[in-house]
Parts: sequence; C-alpha cells; structure tokens
Amino acid sequence: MPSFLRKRKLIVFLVGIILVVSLIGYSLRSDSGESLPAQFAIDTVGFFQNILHTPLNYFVEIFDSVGDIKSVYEQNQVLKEELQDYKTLAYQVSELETENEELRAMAEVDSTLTDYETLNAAVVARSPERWFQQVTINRGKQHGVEANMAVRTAEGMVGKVINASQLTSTVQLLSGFGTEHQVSAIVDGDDSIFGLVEGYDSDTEKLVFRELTGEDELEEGQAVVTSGLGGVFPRGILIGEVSSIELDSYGLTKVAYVEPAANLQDISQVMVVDRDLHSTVIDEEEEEE
Amino acid sequence: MKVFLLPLFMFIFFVTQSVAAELIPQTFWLGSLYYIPHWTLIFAILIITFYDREHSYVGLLNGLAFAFLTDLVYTNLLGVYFLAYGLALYMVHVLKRYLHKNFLVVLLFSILGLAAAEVLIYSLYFIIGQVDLSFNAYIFNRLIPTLLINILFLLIIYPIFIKKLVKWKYELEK
Repeated sequence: MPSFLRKRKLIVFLVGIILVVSLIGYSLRSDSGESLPAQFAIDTVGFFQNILHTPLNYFVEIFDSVGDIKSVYEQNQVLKEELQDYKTLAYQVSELETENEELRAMAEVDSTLTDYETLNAAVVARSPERWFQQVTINRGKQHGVEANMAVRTAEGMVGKVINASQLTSTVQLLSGFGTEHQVSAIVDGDDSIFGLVEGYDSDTEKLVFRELTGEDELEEGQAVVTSGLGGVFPRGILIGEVSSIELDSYGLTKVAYVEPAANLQDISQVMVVDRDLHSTVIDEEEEEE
Repeated sequence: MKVFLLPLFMFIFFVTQSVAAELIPQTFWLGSLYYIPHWTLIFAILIITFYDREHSYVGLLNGLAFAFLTDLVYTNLLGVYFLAYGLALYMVHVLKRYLHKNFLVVLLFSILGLAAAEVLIYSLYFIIGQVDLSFNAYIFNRLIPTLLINILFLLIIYPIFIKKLVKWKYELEK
C-alpha cells in the first residue's frame, strides 16, 4: 500500500509539472488579450483593490501633505515669479492655437497625429511581482480604454495599456518594456533622428533608444518624444531626455540611453491617451464589436 | 463557515499586498533595492504548520489557488507562481512532520519557503527571458530585502492569528 501511495504522489507530481510547463508555453504564445473568465477575475480583484485603495490613499496623502507644508513658502515665492512669465506664455499659446486652427482650416487638414483626448484614471494597485512592472488603473472598456493606448502623466509617458477589462485595465510601464513593446520615437525639434525605444536597462534605470537614423547629430540632453508612426500613440508625448550615447556591442551603430521624464516608481494619477486619428487596427476592432 | 474564513483572509492579504506595493514608494528609502510581498505564501505556511493535520492540504490548496490568481492578475505568464508556490508549500508540508510547532520553526519554514519560491520564480523567468538581472545582483537587490520584509510581515501576523488557527483546528477535530 505505501508503494502505491508513493506512486500516486509521483504521478500527481509529474502530471502537475507537465501541466504547468504547457501552461507557461501557452501563455507565452498568446498575446491577444485576456479571455472572459480572466477579465472577470481581474475586474473582481480590481473592485476590491479600489475599495481598499481609496481610504488608504487618503491616509497616505495626509502624511504627504504634512511633509509638503514645510516647503510651501519657498515654493510659493518661486511660483509667484514664474506666474508672471506664465501669463505671457498662455497668451502666446492661445494666439498660436487660433493661428494653427486657421491655417489647418485653410489647408483642409481635419486631424493630425498630434491630436488626442485624454481620460483621467487613478492607479489602484501595482503588480507586487516587480519583474513585470505593471499597474492597474480604475478605468476599463466601459470608459473607453482600449488595449495599446498610451498612458502618460503630466511629466511624460509612463507606458501603455496592455490589457483592458470591463472596469479596470492593466498598464505596462516603460520600465518593463522589452523588444515586444517598441515605441517609435523621434528627437524633439529634429525629425531626421528617428529610432525605436525598445527595452529598459534595469542596472542604470534608463530606456534604450536604438535603430537610430541620423545618429551623428544626436546630442546629450535632447528630448525624445513619440513619433506617432507606431500606430496608436499620438505624436509628441515626451518620453525622456538623452543621458548618454554609446556604441552598441558590435561597435557598428550607436545606442542612446534615455532618462524617463516621468517618475515610474511613484505614480498615482495617469491619463490614458486616445488618439483622434485612429489606426486601422483599432478601427477594425471597433467594427467587429 | 470556518471553511470560508481562511480563503477570505488569503484574499484580503492578496489584495492588500498589491495596494501596498502601489502606495509605498519604492525608491524613497530603499534605493535600488526591491522587495516583493509574498503575504499569501506566508499565511499559507502558517496554515500548513498550525491548522493542517498530517493528511489535510488546506494550506497547500489555498496557496495554489492564490498563486494561480497572482499569475492571472499580476503577470502575463500563467503557471510560474503556481509551480513555485506549489513546490515551496509542499516542501513545508513534508518538513513539518519532523519538527515541533513553535515560532522558530515557522520562521525557519518561512525563510526556506520564501527563498525556494523566489529563486524558482527568478530562474523560471530567467529561462523564459523575462528578466536579465545577474544572479549576484538578484541576491542582494531582491532576495534579501524580500526575505526581510516578509519576515516582518510574519512577525506582525503571527501573534494575531496563531491562537485562532489552533482553536479552529481543534474545533474541526471535535
């Protein structure tokens, strides 16, 4: 009898291993969104995360604001000075916007890659599994979020939606980007430098900007923005600043390391970016539904 | 009723650990050190040592269920946590027969289980190509902070739950 028991345990063990390995293989292959039961599970967990997040966040904010009070006076002085410039700047911007609209109307351009609408969302949870660098936001398909939309904060781009459930969505942060999530990018003010932001160097905490054209003109300190050519991201979302330029491991091309503009560790409020000019991929999906 | 209480607590810890990961800013005081909360694993180890009898698998099954949920909700890969938690919890389940049940033993089980699960998760992700961190950097930046933070969690929940778990066990035996 004991030998039978042991055999049974061994069989359960082996079958378990085989199941798990095939499960890993299956989920490595499939990247086309989550199934309905998975969406349900994610939404249910997201609902409770939301309940827990709201009071806790309130508590944390009280602590934060006590710390803020110390620096308020100094900030106030600086801000007052900056406000003077701001008024002039705001006036100039509104002038330029009207001029831009008039010129567009003359040229009969309806919408460009730069136009987008944003949808505000709060980050309710972060994947405790820090290898994946994903956060959960409290907006989903019901609110108009679709997979592959860009996600930004006021400072700059933080990532993209990789999976939209009905009420919550999962956002892949830039710090977890690999070659499977490439962002087509240009250097601000110089369209001749074009490349792909692919991957994140976790040792230096910088984004890797490679496949560059016009790499000789690239300088440190230049701003890198999205190009809008990738399909769903609009043009002109700030990704970061070039912090160093190095030769790649073969010594043939250059690789730039980009310091992300947004703080990827401490994110609480984000904006989901919905480009006005939809790519064909998203339009097709909408027609199917 | 008691049957649902343990999964309920597991679920509470499961949700809390992700919200905690969002609200505690990482770089603020830890620099490049990362910790990963494995609170469901710790609680499952507590259940195995104090609630489970020789041939009951409540802790193991709870741990497996929530490992699968972790895979589903927080990662893109199904099965990695499932395998790692499963093996770690089974190891604890086998070891507990040979040792007395007291705090030091739970501490030992937690350290062993955590280290086993963590290293397994790391190696599986490394094989798949999800991570490219070297093993030495992994040990110092991730494994040791993770062990410390989860043992802190154990120190907090141990006095709260220990009497209840033993009480429930004897109520079940009656």
